[in-house]
Amino acid sequence: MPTATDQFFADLAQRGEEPLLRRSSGSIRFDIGAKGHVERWFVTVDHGRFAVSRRNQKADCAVLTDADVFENIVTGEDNAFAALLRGALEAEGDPELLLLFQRVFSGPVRSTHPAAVGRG
Amino acid sequence: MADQVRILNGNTFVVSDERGDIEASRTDPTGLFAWDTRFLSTWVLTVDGERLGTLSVDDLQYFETRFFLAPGGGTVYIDAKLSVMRQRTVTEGFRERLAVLNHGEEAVELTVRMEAGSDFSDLFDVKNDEAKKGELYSSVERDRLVFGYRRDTFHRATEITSEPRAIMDEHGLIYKIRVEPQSHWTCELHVTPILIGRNGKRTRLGGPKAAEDMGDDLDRWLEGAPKLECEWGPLRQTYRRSLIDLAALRFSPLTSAGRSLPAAGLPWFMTMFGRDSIFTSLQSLPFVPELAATTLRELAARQGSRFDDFRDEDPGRILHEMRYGESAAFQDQPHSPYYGNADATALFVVLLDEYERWTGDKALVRDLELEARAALRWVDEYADLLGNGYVWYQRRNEKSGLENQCWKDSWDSISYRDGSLPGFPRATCELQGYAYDARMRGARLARLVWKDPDYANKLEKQAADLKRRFNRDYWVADGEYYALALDAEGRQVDVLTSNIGHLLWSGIVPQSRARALARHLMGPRLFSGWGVRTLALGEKRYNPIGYHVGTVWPFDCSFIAWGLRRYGFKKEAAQIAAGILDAAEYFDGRLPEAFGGYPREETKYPVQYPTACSPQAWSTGAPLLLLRTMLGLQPLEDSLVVDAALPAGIGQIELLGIPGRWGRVDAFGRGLLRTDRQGRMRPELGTAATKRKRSAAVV
Repeated sequence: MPTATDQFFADLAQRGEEPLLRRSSGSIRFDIGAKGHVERWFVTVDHGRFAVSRRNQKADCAVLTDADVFENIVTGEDNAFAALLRGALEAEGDPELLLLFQRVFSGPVRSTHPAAVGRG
Repeated sequence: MADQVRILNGNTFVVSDERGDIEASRTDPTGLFAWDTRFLSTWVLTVDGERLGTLSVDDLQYFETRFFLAPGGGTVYIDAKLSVMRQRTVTEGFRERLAVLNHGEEAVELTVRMEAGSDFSDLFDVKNDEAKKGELYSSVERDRLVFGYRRDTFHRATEITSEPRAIMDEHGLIYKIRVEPQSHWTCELHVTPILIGRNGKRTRLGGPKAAEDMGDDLDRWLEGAPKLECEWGPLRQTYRRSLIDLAALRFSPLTSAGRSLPAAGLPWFMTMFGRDSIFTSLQSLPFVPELAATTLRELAARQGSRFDDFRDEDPGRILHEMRYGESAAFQDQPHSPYYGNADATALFVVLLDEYERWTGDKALVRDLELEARAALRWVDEYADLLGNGYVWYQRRNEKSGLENQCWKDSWDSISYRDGSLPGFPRATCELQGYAYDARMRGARLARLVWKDPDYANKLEKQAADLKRRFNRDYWVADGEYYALALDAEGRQVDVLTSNIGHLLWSGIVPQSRARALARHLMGPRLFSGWGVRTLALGEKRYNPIGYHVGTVWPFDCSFIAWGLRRYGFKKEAAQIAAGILDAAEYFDGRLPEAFGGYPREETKYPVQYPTACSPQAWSTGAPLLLLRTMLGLQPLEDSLVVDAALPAGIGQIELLGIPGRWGRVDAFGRGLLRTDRQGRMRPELGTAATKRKRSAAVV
């Protein structure tokens, strides 16, 4: 059974072009899990196109967080910026890329906005 | 709030009493604040156990103050043999240089103590008196005194170091000193806010600039702005005050690579606000266009991308407020960021177009094409909560979201003539004006830069359609003005307000109706003699000191003046400029957020609305925009049109070196327009004939 985090990276690899990031190029390393249990992903953005890899490489910035925190962020239950302020998530390197990237996380599943009702 | 001393650097600021001491209570906004957290709440200096008295306070710069003190605080007698100097500079926290001077003929041995402490209040705790949920600690670690606060993974600390070293305990620092006659002792203290991250990693929460650079930076800032030459001294003073305050209000988000945008105001609002940052950028475009560029970039980078009820976020929506403290971190408050406004998204497009008209910077317009389209889509789809073509607002965060998502955001600002309040959603009139303007300006950019004439045509068609419907649905026929809002049933919220001036600015008013609006704006119900009241005299909820229901807001007036000029009402625009600039003189050039709506002939001086926030960015920007409207500055391709219309009595104005796509040009004007004097009102503008009461009263 893949976790929401696995699913998130799998979807990202299939996502095709993300227009929000069309001006951005660079790579982000994700270190997810407590010390000694870190799972690592690399996401490369090339003018809005994503590539996801588990192979070690150089990165422009890094996101470090625990598995449950990241899971909550990708499922929309937590907010990446709030987690950063809380010290539950750490970000290093190019802050612009990180800021742009956090916009690809989905929001909460339920919303009462008329345009969002029925979305799932 | 009397006798407070405030200095700042970005969103790091210190508020102390006039001795330099800080003794903050839980709800009192004094202390060292950085990133919306109080890092120091106690900072009290004693010599031999005695508090000091103030001889003088020199505000050296907005980021630096010097206190001259002597023992014997609170008593008449002051021991003149000893004096103490504290010079404080805001850096990434602050730096304080202490000097104890012995003017006597004998050496003295003294105990100097600095009591210190921190409660780590979130700015919102201070506002709302919330109790702390985590654990406070203090410790002495080798050469530093550390205060800390921990709540789960949230960890902030304050470090205090001293040179020479002090004897430290958990409540402060002590120096046992000997000062020879005619000599002095000095020391330097550093107070540094620290963020402690996951795995104990320490990050300094730095201000944008090092203290050493800040003086040079301010000089460069003033040097880069146009020079104002004018015969009327108070205007020169107001202009200089505005430029310096605007420099002080600059805020650099972590992602801006040191570039700045205007924060909303000191002390509560030293952060990015969609609406305030945009309005202030619009006001200051002819003077410091780089603020607009940073505002556009940073707001675009945080544009909404999903539906999130807690944050009132929608795709394409421009943020309302960004915060960095504990309440945002734990989602007690939705400011991470919060999106609940209904105007900043359209205004974002308005600013983008106005910015290009002034600077010719098409690269930024190209860069932000997607964000501008997403903003226009928000205006068209997601803001139209009832599907009838208007911009509506209704918060989805019922607990901590904002009820009124327009600039008049207090609870009672939107009312019918009978004083009752409409339900939600609401569609205030100025939002429709902004939506119209955003589409017209978006269409220009689509043709000029994005090379998409079909999109331009579509936007213009939408704008024309909105204008037609708006003029049918909002026009209050028996009063000849536009209703403040429509309610959910489509009924007019029919009071007369200053909002009609914003409609002129946006261009949604047909020429045939503009004169009626100008008459209202300058008539006795709305015009106080100083400026335009937010709500007209005679309305049920009118109150001359009601926040949005009768006070005069300088920012509001500056946009109304722009609107009047847009429709050719030069004299009326000049009269508003005259009133507001006259008022500015009473506040030594620093306009407050709002002042009372009392008729000018009754009070003779503007009565300040009691508020803790000063300077306020869009009040600071108001004189700048009024200079623009008086000189009639209008960019036209690669030249700047000047069509001055100055109130008589102001003399000559020369604005030299206005930056823009034309390089730098100068504008000249001479005061010729006779504005209505309304009896013996406003006799002084430009003359030195009478000496007026200098200080403004506070209610």
